[in-house]
Amino acid sequence: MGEYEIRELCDEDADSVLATFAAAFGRERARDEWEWAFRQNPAGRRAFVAVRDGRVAAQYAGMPARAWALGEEHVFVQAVDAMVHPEHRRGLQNPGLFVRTAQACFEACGAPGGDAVHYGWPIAPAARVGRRFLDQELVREELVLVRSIASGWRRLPDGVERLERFDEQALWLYERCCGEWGASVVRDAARLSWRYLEHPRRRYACLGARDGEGLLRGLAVLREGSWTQAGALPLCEWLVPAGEREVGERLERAVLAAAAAQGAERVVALFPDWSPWFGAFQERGWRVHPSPYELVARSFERRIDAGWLVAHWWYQLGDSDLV
Amino acid sequence: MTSPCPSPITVRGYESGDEEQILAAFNRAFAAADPGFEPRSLAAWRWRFLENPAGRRIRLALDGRGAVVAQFAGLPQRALLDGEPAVFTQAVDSLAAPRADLGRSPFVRAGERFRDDFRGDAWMWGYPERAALRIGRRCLGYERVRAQTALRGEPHRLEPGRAGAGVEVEETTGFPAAVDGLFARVGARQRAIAVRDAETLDWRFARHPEHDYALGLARAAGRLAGYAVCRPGRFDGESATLVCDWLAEPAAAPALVAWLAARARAGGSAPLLALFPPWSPEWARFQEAGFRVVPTRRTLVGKSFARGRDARWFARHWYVTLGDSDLC
Repeated sequence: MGEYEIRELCDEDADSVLATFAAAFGRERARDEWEWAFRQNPAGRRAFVAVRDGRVAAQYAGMPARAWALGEEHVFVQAVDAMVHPEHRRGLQNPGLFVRTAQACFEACGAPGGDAVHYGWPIAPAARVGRRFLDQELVREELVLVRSIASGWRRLPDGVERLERFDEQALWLYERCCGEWGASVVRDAARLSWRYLEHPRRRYACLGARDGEGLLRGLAVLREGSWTQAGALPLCEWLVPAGEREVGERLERAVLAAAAAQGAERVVALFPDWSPWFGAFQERGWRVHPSPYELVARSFERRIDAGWLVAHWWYQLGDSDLV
Repeated sequence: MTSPCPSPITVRGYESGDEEQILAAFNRAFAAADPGFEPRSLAAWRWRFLENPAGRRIRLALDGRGAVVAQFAGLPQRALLDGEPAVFTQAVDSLAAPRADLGRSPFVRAGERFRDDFRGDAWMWGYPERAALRIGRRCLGYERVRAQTALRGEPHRLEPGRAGAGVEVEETTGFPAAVDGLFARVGARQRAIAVRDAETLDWRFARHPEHDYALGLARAAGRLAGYAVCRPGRFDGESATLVCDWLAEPAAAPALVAWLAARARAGGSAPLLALFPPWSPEWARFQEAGFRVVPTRRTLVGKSFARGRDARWFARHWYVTLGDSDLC
């Protein structure tokens, strides 16, 4: 491996990274999406590359997020854009270039006081590498909740509005929810704005339920554009305190109305199965389906393992790059 | 002060006459871990390990005086793997005596011998407790298959759906030979499934020494079209009507769900609880009938020895119900 330099990504690598992405995946990654993911994330970036002859041959990268877990602040990182240029692949028999690159990232970022968890929803070949060489464990086979939309629902219910910006009320709302969760990404204005309002290519409907005094009592975010199947829109974010059933019902009607207004036939949501919303949505006619996605994680925090994450980690589709 | 020499440990299989000592060690170990534990009887031990038509899997660690200090055991099942005969084994009854004089963990040694001696079994699996899961992952290569969910139905709120024409459910005390044909038609279509023939089902449910199972056979125009098995019990600390097994043609499903609901109501209306893989048609069918998906405290793990099929393959292709395990 002496012919490769394994180091942290720098901005000047962007063109080469994008060229390797295209070679590895057979499709382009737009430069503005890359900038959004790796230069504009308020929590920074994680990216290590293997470089030879001035070209990126492999990358291990992730999108970090501030997280609240075990009663203290941590960093959770979603691994994305794992790749090796086809000219540099060696197969699974020996830990190859990608594994070495990932391990360099882990050494730099996963030490005590660093990242707590790296997670993702890898495709099967990457998952096998992760299990075998990177100590990744399966957290959960993802189950999704699906609701067919009845015709005639077009108007947002009273008390629900489309949000064009986030302010300090986002954090207040998150803090009213997170006390019941062992771990979650902090959903403040910076995070939500970057994730849903500043994405260069995707459009999201951010629906806020307010009370008579204008306080934000709940948030739902619906992505525009089908996901996994034609006519199905993903519910990317659901931030409603578990005890606020009326707010939840109002927002659910709003989600279905907003989806119907886009001509969708179904909405797809994801909740940890221990969450009260998992049961509440079933009672309101959503049905649980398997999905092709499997959540894996590598923990660097001794108190957190896959079993703990299954039982305590609140996450949504918007915690992924799948939507 | 130097440490005492560890007691010599022998690892071997079951020998006739071991059962009383094994049973005593099991009952001690599990009573220490669970105040509500009901000791297992010798009859139940014999049923489980000596009468299983698929055989037994036991590896014991014994100290220098011949006392059982650890066990790694399994309940094998004859199975089909893409139509070919195979053995799937559920790891059960793991136990270890907490003695400081025993050196390198006798349980790990028994487990490693178990793994090595029975790696001809295609699939080893289980629902281990947390501590056993950590050891199993580290020493035996267990992988997580899934965080187990269940389908829960309130018997008074179920809507089984329209019964197929002429389908009737009869309760029985044993499985007829015709169930072999049912398995060949319906079960053998699964890529991975434990064999559900009359011999196996009778041992598993009709001759269990401690539990009384209700067996419902669905017939359409006289032909066996499906069966379901249930019994009152507890799961995750709650009373439930456990749906222990299910194998049915689609037309027989509504009648069998209706029978399960009636059985649950007759038994005091504890909620019905079933386990099915999320990809199975039963998963959707039971939700249509009014069951809801709920989490459980269980994690399903496994280790594959089948070439070209890892634990994720079994997650996506293995038809498994509650009755494949010792949880009911």
